Amino acid sequence: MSTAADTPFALPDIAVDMAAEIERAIQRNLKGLDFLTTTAPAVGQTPKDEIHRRGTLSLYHYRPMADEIYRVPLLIVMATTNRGYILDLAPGQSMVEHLLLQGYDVYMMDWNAPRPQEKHLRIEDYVLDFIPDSIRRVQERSGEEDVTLVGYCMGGVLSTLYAALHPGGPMKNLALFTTPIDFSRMKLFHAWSDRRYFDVDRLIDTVGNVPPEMLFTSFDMLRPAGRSAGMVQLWDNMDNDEFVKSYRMFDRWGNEMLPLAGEYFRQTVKELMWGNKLHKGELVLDGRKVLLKNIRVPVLHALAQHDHIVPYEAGQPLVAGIGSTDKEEVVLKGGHVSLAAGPNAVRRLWPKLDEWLGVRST
Amino acid sequence: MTNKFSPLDPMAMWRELTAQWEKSTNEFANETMSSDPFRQGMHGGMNASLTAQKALGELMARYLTMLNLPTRADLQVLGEQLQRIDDHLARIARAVEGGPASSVAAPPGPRRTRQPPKAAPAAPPATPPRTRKPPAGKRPA
Repeated sequence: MSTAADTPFALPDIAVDMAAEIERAIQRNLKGLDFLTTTAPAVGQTPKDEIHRRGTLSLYHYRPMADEIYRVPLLIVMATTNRGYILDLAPGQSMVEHLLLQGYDVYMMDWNAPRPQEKHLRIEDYVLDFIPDSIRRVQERSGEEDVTLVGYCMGGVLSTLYAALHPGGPMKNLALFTTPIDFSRMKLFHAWSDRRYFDVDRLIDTVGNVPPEMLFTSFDMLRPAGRSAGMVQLWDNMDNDEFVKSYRMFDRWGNEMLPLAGEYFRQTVKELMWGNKLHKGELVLDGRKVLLKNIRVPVLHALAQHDHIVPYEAGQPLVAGIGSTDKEEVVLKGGHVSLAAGPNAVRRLWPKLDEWLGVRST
Repeated sequence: MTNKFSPLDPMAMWRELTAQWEKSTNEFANETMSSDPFRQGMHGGMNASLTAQKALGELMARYLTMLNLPTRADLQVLGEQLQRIDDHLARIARAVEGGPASSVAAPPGPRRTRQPPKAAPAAPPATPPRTRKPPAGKRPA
């Protein structure tokens, strides 16, 4: 004879579930009103100083949080399409704060919207001017010769290009997240930039800098149902304050895309996307060929298992192609953004990064 | 093994359906958007829009010049000049207030003598072995 406890979906359980759902529905409505009437939570609150600003570049120094810090400072190179606060969302959800608490001296190259007169900026300006200039300033401020670069997405590409063109230093380590090398493996972006139909010259010659709305739409189109499903998920979790706070911060970040400098975009499309020249070893910057095998410093490359922007195949050639002997590739659970920010990153990437950097930062 | 959700729980069913809808819609859309006709149509639309934007911009610029009024480009240049003045003023203000005027003026910081925790793996050898067995989660380099 079966008892109520043995039955998978016994009536009392259903009643309890229903009561809980009704309670949640009431809470959802109450919290939903809060959602509509309050502003989004503040982001990027870790204390920092802007130590240099030049056009699209802002160089920040985060104030140390430990009494004793590692010798080698970290310079984070943010992706050029987005604001750097994704790595500093909120206390407890900030990679920057985590690194500071672990005893690192953290700097960040963050990007402002390029001005109309900056439409001429090319990849060379980022790789051979902004990065070396920022490294020099970090060296001056920290008093240390060695600097570790940490690059995220296109910030990772720029850091990789810099590393390949400066094998003699002063970069000590290179840590990269979701950095594409084989652009032909970024399937949808590659398809959309089909040279038979995409007249990139006409676009740049008309608009100057690429408007953020266009970039936002492109990223959104990679997962067209994502936004709607996200809204449903938000409504479902409206009674969960932590979920709502996190949703609002990520949503704000996703919506706040930056324009891209016109020439930089034209070059990215022609050289990297159409020509796939970084992967083929044919990319030339300022008359110098960019060869991955010239990178000999310790390298960590973290890729995301479910990355819809930079799939594993696009990032895999990096560690395979560099000349370093101390190199490591890790594939962690998560997506393009959740790899570096949010609860997933707290458990996976951040401890891994700390473990890898610690022994190489003395 | 029990089911993930009760068939009588409407909210659980709704969540499952939403997840399935998202997955199938994304897959279908990605397939469609990879197709040749989609790319052609997308860029055809963009080119038409750019042509119209350019023509309208030129027309407006001519019209404004005729009326002796500044064009968008003129205002942008003016804005840039104001921005530069603003940047200079900010730097001067920081210097006057005694704040860090440049990256060189760093406040005294903590000692740079930190060592990694002892439980952490040892520092990499100068010449690491060529073949390393990667632990779970790592891919061979």
